[in-house]
Amino acid sequence: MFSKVTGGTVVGIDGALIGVEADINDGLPMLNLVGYLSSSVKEAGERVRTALKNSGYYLPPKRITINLSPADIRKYGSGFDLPIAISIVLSMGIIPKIDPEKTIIIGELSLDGSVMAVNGVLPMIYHAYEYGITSCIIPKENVAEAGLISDMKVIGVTSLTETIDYIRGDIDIKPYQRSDEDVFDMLPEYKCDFSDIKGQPVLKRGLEIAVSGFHNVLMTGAAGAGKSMLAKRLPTIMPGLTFEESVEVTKIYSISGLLDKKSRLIRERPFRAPHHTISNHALIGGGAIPKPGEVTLSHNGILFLDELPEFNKNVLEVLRQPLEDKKIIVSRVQASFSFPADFMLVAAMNPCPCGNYPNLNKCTCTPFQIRKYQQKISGPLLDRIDINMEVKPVQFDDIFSDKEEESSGCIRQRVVETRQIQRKRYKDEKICLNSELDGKLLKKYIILDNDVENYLKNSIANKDISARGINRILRLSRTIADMEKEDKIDVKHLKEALFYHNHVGVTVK
Amino acid sequence: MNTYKKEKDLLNLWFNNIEGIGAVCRKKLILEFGSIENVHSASLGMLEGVLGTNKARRIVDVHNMSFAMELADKLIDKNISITYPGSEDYPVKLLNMFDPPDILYVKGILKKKLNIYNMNVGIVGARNASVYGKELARMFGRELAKKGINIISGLALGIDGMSHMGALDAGGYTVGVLGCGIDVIYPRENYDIYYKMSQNGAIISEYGPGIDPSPGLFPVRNRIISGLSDGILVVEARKKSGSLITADLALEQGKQVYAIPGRITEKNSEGTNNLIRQGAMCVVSPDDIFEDLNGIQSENKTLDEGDKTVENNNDLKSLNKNSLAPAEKMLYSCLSLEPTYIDDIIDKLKIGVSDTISLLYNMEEKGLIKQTLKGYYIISV
Repeated sequence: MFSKVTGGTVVGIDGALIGVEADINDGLPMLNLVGYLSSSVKEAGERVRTALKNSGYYLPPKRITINLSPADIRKYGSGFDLPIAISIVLSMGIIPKIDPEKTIIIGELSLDGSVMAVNGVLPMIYHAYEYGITSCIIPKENVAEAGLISDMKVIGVTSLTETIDYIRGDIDIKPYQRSDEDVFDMLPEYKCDFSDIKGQPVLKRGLEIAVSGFHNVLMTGAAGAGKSMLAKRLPTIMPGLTFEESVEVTKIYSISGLLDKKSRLIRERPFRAPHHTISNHALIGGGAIPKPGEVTLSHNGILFLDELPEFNKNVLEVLRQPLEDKKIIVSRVQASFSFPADFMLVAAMNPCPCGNYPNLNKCTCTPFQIRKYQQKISGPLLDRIDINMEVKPVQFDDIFSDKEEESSGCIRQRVVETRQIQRKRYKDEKICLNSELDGKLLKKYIILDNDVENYLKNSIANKDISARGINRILRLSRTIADMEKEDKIDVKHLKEALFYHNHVGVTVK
Repeated sequence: MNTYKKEKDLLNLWFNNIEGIGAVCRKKLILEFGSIENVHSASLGMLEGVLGTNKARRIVDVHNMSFAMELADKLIDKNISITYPGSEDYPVKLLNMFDPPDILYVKGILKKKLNIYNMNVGIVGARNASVYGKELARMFGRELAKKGINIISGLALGIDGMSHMGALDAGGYTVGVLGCGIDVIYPRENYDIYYKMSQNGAIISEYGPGIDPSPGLFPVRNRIISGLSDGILVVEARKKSGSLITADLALEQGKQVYAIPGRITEKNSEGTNNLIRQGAMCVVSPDDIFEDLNGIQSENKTLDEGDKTVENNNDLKSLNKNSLAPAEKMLYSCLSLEPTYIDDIIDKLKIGVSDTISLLYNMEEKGLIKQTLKGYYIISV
């Protein structure tokens, strides 16, 4: 007898629906799986057979064929165990027919018949929802994740027996009801705050500009100057994720298996700080079945690269494309995958190998060493950095000063206001932040008065600034003007943008 | 002059580039035979009597001078001339040395004023110089050049390069002495200075084309710097610095040694402060050097007066300073030659970040201050 249920897999960061068909026929007893399967799915046959036996259902000694369709999508992952088992049981006539257009089944089976959590439930369920499917049977551990999609009836199951009993109507499982807390959680609480940082007004202002317009930052400074400390506090001054952003981030984390057990919607801005020994596949995503890399995991958030020159050079160079396109395309033999990668790059480095330049009393490096060290960061990468800042070591007096510093909440309030101004301006466009201005939009929204334009012309005349660099200065001055709530970009804003953008490196000559 | 057609040029090229024959051997030969021509026409037996079989054979082996002609072609290609004791443009001051260079390769032009009418001052100092040192080197180079003094230095990073630049700024004449082959630009960072000097000044070296820099060559080069100079100014030097070797050589050659004092806590000024303690002339303004060289007896000058002379040199600047807005004046008073970080400026001025940046930009455009490193500012001198 033929039967069909619906399962799902992940392609890139999106879900795809997979029809799982089973047929029991006369012939030599065997279990055959077909349909462009990866080895992890091929192994499902053995798991399903044993799990069924241990749950009290013996496979008939007949020829059983399982087909996963469409045949042109490569199927990965362990989420097919449960739908395969259910389709076999269905073919055996033990349970009534389920409508494959209405229900999706996902889950991994253990040999004893219990159902285990799988990765990527959110994108699959989200896709199913868009397709018109209204209920899902998934591992109990994944219900919070799937429950984010309202109007979806989410049934969490723990074992194969329970699933079969439920479909037969022998028992009733209450659909998962998401609590408002899951979605409309207040802003996450952070353990650290910007007021922990004493002094450093220029740096703080720079970071505020960066966050307001989502601009990339490079901080150069001696060891212990507070670069990492500042970077870690950046999420605290960023506005919370919007619902759409949250879903996007949660989807990415779902695929990567990084959601915790209580996995609900991610409300915190991602902050990823990979170690400098990272490989380029780990950074941009890769593997035979491409998985999101750090650039994608920091989507809508911050990618913090501490000790930038220590990173492998080719690892840094792969950052160029995502920094420009806000996405990364990973091509493999089977397919090309496009992962979102709209992150804010925050990098930190020492000015020289010993870390003490420009303090010549402490610095033991030769000019050549310093130059070489700074040259580890390639021009094209530097060109993509909007804000360059020198971090001066904190003075003793500052550390113990009682001066009240601004809290993260205060700064965030201003950032939110600046972002609202930008949103309002770009409401008819596909973008919402200044850093996304490009090409035609840049021309449309950044109009300089004559004197401002002349000033810009004069100030970059003798400097080696690329066209991209000029665009970055313009976007930066737009953000600064927005922070001052000015409609027009003034010379003053331009000056500040130039100050923050210019990379005045070591002048040894 | 640049044709090498003259027999004498070729002979000198030949004599000074024979493999295995160094300065000592050359001296012996000249002493024995009287002139290069005589060496060239001497027989193997005669040479053996002076240098021994091996070396004599080396000389005889290259008797036909073919390698010297090849070298001459190469030099013509690269627009390099030579000079040697006895030729018209050989710097006379070098002849007073114990061991004047037998041959000098020259890029640019060795002008007459290197020898007469004008004074030469060698400016030397640390390669890894502080902003204070570099700015002063440039200022001294510029101001001395304005007074017609030729600036001699070593074309290295830091002080050397800055003093050349200062001289070029003022349109003065400056000579760089290399410690490597004449066509080897070392360090590469100084390419633009090298190029400018080959147009408007001169670059000289004892070493022919293609010889790479090596540590042993630099002290030897230093003796030429001090030899060419009437006085040596040490701008910034650490305790053990090559610049101090130059200063020692200058003393041996009976030249005046000047040193710019620095803070006693700065490592980069340890060497110069030590020199002053040992009796070098403490210099606080370019005028000090000018007056000393010209034998002008000045009254006891105080530091303040020294400062004033610096200011007076820049009429334009003092004019500017008087027309500054109060905030600008205050900002200017916060700064010195020691780089000050922008946070500290904000601390003193008590105005917002963006206002301070705007103010700093204004002042920079007026040429009153300079940004040396991101966010670090100094006054310009």
